[in-house]
Amino acid sequence: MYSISMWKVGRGRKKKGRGMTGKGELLHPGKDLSVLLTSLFLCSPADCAIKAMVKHEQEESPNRPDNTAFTQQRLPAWQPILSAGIVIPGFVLIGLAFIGVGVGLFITSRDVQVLELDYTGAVATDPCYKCSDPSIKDCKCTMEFHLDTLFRGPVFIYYGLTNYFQNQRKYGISKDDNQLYGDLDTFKSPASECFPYDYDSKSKPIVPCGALANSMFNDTFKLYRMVNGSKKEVPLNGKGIAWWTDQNVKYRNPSGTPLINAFNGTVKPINWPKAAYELDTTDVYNNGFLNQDFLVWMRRAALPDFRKLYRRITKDEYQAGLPVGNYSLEISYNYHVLSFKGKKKLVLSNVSWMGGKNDFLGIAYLVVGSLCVFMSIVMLIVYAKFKFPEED
Amino acid sequence: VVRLLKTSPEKPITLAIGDGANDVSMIQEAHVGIGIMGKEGRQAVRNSDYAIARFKFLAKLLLVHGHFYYIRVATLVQYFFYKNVCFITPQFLYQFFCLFSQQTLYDSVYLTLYNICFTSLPILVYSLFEQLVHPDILQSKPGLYRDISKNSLLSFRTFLYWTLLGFSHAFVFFFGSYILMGEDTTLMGNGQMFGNWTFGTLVFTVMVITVTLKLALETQFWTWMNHFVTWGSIAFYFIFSLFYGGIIWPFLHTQDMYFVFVQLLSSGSAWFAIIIIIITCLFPDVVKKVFYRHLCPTSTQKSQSLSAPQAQALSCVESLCCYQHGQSGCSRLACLLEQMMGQCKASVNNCHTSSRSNRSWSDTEILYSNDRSILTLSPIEASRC
Repeated sequence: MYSISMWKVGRGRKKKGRGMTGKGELLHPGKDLSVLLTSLFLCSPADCAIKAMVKHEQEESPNRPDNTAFTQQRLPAWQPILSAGIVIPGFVLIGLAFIGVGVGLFITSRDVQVLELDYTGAVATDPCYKCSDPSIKDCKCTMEFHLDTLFRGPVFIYYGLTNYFQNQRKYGISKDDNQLYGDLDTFKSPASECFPYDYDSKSKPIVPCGALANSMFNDTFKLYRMVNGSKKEVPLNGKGIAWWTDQNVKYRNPSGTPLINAFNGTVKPINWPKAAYELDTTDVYNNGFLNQDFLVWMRRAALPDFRKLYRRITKDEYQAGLPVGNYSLEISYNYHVLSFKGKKKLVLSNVSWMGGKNDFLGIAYLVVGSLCVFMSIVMLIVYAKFKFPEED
Repeated sequence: VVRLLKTSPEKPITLAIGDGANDVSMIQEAHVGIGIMGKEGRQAVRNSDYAIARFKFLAKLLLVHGHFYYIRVATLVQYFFYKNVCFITPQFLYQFFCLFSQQTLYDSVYLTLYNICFTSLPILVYSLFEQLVHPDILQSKPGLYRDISKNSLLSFRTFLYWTLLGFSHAFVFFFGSYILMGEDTTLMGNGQMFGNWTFGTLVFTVMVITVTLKLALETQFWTWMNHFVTWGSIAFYFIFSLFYGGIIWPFLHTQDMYFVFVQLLSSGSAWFAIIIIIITCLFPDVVKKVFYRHLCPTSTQKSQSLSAPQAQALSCVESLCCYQHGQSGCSRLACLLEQMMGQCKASVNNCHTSSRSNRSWSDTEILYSNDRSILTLSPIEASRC
């Protein structure tokens, strides 16, 4: 017993000189003895001695920080090193994959057919020049074109505008989404963003209010095919041109049958020839705010030169496409763009799974793929020539 | 003396260490003041920037914690500027195409949540856990500290690199999307057209993924948390966008974003565009990293491949057999006992081999001879196990 206590005292004295803080510096002979005795009976001599020493030291400073992997930043981790051995094969694989994809995309885009007809009427030789004067109302003009090959169906007809900034902020927020959702309260008091297109000169509310709705595109087109010297109209399908969610969820007509009753006490937008409830009197699902031409217009274009879907040619004998022959396009020219140097055009196009004719993606993939392969070859040459220096 | 040193032409950053009340003025004068909790009381500790318990801990504080902390904070600062440059520059570029009418490219909810939700966690976890090299290597090779000396990671050159990288990425995001949609053809298989919010969402999607992957490229210590926040942030962006655009919100004034994200994702062209833009942005960075690593590597990069023997030494040292705490005869005895019984996994030979490989780098062995606490262990000492 005496020898053990002596030994412990010796240890304690050594510690005092360091000025360590915390409890556990004082000797607790009883505690140490009990630890020693219990360990003597429960483990082998060497183990017990170790355990006793360990336990005593652990009791001495409870202020020690947690010794877990998280707090001591010893978490197991993956430590990747971006070296040539990984990057070179990776670049080769990516490069080849991109070149393959690029070729596929480019070929798909090449197969898409597009026909553009500019009908602004800016110069005197244009067929629609006579209509370009804003003072003339209800003007019609005709454009002729010829198809050499079968224009594969289904054919999509777009109208395009240039220099037209639908993405201008004040113009774009000038609408009332609550009105367009059929909220009758907003029929009486349109949102303030619609100013100055919220009330007319007689202080009657305009429905639908705002500059965006007011400037709706109102040219109409009829397509005729020349068959044996006579004109045969090509039927155009106006369904499925707006987003499905726009027509079925986001925009709702106000409740009221017939629809004209809900619009009591309101006026139509200033530039519109007909009111909203007269946009398509033949089809109740295409009338009012659900009119697909209206919805297509209300989806603001991102950039100043844009196209919007007008009609699809899907019916009867034109399901396979537009056959070879002469065609005549009859335009009701109502929308005037020359005042801001804009242009109007009609575009016929067919689509692939990736959309219309867009060479950009195919070319981009080919370029990046080739760059990847080129860089991997360069790295390989540099690696072989200079034999990247190893660790010394 | 410290004040005199600070006026010298190189304008050095000074560090003073002391443990007594007479050291207080020196500690306060230096840029970094370190106090030692000693037998002369707590005066020094109270006036210092950092307090340590033993003088020997200074080595680890400086060479390991200082090194890690500097790299983490420098990268944090540079990355924050980079990701915000990426964020705002496309909006600025869009003004050229919308008559400078301050039309935002992204929806206002995206504007708000970009820095809070979509890109905040990855850099947070990086700045808590990143370790370029193993702490043991840092402590045994003090020369590695030179790689970060003179504020090299926050120098003008590094800042210029990160900012120009941000600008070039932003240009690629915006003009990649612009050329894709500017051909004004439809991008959907049903012939319908996208609007301005879809265009903005495309740019935003590419941007969130690219800045997160850029940080993934910079990270070299992937704990489970890094994986969780990196891939989780991207997943959260997609889930949030689907949720936000999937409901007609009753209290919102406009429903501009309704179904925009789903329409974007349903277009095959948009997916291909996202992939090509991301790869185009990160490709030059990867090339640059590989070339720099192999043609002019820093000492830190050279020592990154030395981690294997060090790890062995560490497991030898950290196992219970080799040490416990403090420098007591008791623990030495315990160690000796275990070795005699063959319980210590690390044989003396193992530790000697690793220390031998270190000898060419280590020029300050003597400094760590008494170092045995958990946080301040050196592999040299392991050889004495």
